[in-house]
Amino acid sequence: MEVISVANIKFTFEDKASAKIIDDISFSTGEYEFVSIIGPSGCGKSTLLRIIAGLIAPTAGKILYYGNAVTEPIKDISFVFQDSALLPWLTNIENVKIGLSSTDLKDNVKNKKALEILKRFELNGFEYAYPNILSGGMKQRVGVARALVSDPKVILMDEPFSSLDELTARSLRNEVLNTLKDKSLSLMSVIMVSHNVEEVVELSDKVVILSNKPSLVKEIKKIDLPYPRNRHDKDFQKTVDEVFAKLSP
Amino acid sequence: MLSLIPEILSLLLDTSYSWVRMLLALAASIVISLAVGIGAARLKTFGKIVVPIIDVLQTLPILAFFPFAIYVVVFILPGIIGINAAVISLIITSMLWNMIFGVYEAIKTLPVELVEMTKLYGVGTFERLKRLYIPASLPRLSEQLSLSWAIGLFYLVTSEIFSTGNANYSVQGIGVDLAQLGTSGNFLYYGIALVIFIGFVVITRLTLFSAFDKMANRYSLVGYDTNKHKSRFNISYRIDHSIMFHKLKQEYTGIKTSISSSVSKHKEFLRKFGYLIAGIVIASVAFLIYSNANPNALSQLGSYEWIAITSLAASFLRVWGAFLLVLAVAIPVSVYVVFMTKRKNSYLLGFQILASIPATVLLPIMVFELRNNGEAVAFMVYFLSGIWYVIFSIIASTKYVKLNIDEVKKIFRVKGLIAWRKIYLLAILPGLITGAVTAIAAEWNASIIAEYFISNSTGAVLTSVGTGIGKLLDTALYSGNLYLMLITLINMTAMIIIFNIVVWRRLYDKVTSVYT
Ligand SMILES: Nc1ncnc2c1ncn2[C@@H]1O[C@H](COP(=O)(O)OP(=O)(O)O)[C@@H](O)[C@H]1O
Ligand SMILES: [Mg+2]
Repeated sequence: MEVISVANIKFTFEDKASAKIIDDISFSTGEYEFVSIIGPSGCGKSTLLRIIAGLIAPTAGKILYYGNAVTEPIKDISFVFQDSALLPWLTNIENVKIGLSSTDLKDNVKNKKALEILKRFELNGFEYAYPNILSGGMKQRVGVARALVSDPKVILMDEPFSSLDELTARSLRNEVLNTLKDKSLSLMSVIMVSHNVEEVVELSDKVVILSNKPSLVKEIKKIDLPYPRNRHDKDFQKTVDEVFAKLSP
Repeated sequence: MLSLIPEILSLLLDTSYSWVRMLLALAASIVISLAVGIGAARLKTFGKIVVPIIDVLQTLPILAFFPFAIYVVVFILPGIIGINAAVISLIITSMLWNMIFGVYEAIKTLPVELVEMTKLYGVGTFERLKRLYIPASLPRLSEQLSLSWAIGLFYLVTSEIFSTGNANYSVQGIGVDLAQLGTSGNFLYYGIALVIFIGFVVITRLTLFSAFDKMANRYSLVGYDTNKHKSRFNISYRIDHSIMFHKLKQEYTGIKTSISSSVSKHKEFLRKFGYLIAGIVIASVAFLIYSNANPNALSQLGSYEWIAITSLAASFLRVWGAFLLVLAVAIPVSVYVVFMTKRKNSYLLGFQILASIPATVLLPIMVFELRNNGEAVAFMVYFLSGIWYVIFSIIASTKYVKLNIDEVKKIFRVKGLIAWRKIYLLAILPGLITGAVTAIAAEWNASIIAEYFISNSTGAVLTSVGTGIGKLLDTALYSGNLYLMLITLINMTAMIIIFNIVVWRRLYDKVTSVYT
């Protein structure tokens, strides 16, 4: 069953006279599927992800979530920002609780859930600290915890690992992938924007490769390699080369 | 209709007089800020002394020193020249601080390669000034001009109005006209004068400032934020380039440039040093007067202490009462503009145009309408002097974090009380604090016109509060009581410095330690 369908999305920024950013993009994600969007920088990936999230209205086309149109951010779809986007004036636990803002839970229940997920992301000891003392990797873990604390069905991630060192990135990637593939948990789909081909091939069931200006879908590539994927594997390397070939003009 | 023409011509002439003062002050400020700014940035010891002093000076109620300055300057330079010199130097002291910091910042952030290059090629000091430092300062200087001009206009009008209080100290200018026309209830001419004044404001911005901008931006270096598309009315933009905000913004966005690290490294030391210097200056002025005058000057000063401190207490209540109203208005208005409306830019433009018209042009009409209610006039003047600083400071400070906050808020559907508690109020806190510091300083500044107003034609007291520091300063001036003036200033300055150390610095440091 399709979780998210992106149907004929077009987008032009109103203020820039007819600079078409996204032309006609369609793809979908299935249950327990990890889908990546990859393309040259400035091609409109972040814009597309924000359209999917309901943050920006498309000029034409539709976003569907289990068949229902998404016109504004909804509870089941969560978001991980590129720069973690924590609120500097809130402690880490309060930042995670922001993810529960729209729920009716009592404050002590919110606290319990937030503490649990912070522990899962190995942030115990930093619950009551402010984000400014955390490293970039820890900040992003709080950002992911905030996105997952409400048990969303879908998370959208905008280059979530691009500013982390490789070791931190690797463990966080696994955490997200395991959350998705674990069928006892609520998460049904992940859409990730990235420009890192290896990362995309390691994680994705499906890669949407975009072209530049205005961006169009060049190809939607399925990756059938079994998880966990080994970057030194011959098939892995072959897939990486294929994606690279598609990306170069 | 025809009968209006001579009056309009004379208003135009008077406005020109005022503008001559403004332009002279601006020219002097440009020269001084280039000299001091470049000096402070390039000469280590000079910078270490000058930067903290300026930091203190910009929070002092310089306008309150005006009566004292008039007294001293007119004593040295009698007559119309003296009073004009006093007005112009007052305007300079209001314009100067953020301009100096603009230049200082420009030189501090100058690419090292450029300086090294001039050394390698053996370029002399004068050539280096002419070909490198001055041109490199111009873009930032030009960014500061509008804020300086707006503040200068406030001081111009205020000092002119103030000078009308006493025929001996009267100048010719639009502020004087506004005061006379307003207080005599001559609404037609008052309206015409107001239109002329606003016309001058708008024309100056569109001609002089745009020309300077254009000229200065020719020298803009790669990587400089020249903000070409920013409106000329964009006071919030100017405010966020003032030094207080500059520091905050750096800590806010985590960008540590050389200036903040060099300033903050010795922050504590420099700050104390600055206060020490200010203290010494005040003490030596006091001592000079003491030693030159009669031997019982000290006991004379002491005998005024009680009246000074009670007056200060009364004004303190007024200033802070008005500030509470400022908060009650500014917080919802800024939160609405920053977080809720889609037409933020239209509101901003509206505010910027409004704010570029000094609140004091409305004073005469307030005095006329509220003749028997000195408290109401004082409250209104305090309120109007402070409100824009808070609004613009908040709007400017949230500009840099806005996009993320907005998206986080929407994605996690943060609404209602939670949004106010966890987002809006906390997000505006740094801007609120810097705004509050400047707003309170502006309110204290306005005390000499807020609390006491006399007609220069009759000398009659038009409005007056019961007791207050502004009133005390004014009456001290009119009666030529130097000791009273001095003790009043010392009390006021001491209170402001203590308040800065005890309240603002602590709050500020606490907030910046989290908002990195
Ligand atoms: N608010 C905006 N107004 C106009 N153009 C924008 C705006 N935001 C981004 N753009 C332009 O849209 C294009 C796509 O941006 P973005 O989605 O951030 O690209 P990507 O994430 O693929 O690097 C870029 O060329 C960018 O300059
Ligand atoms: Mg992007």
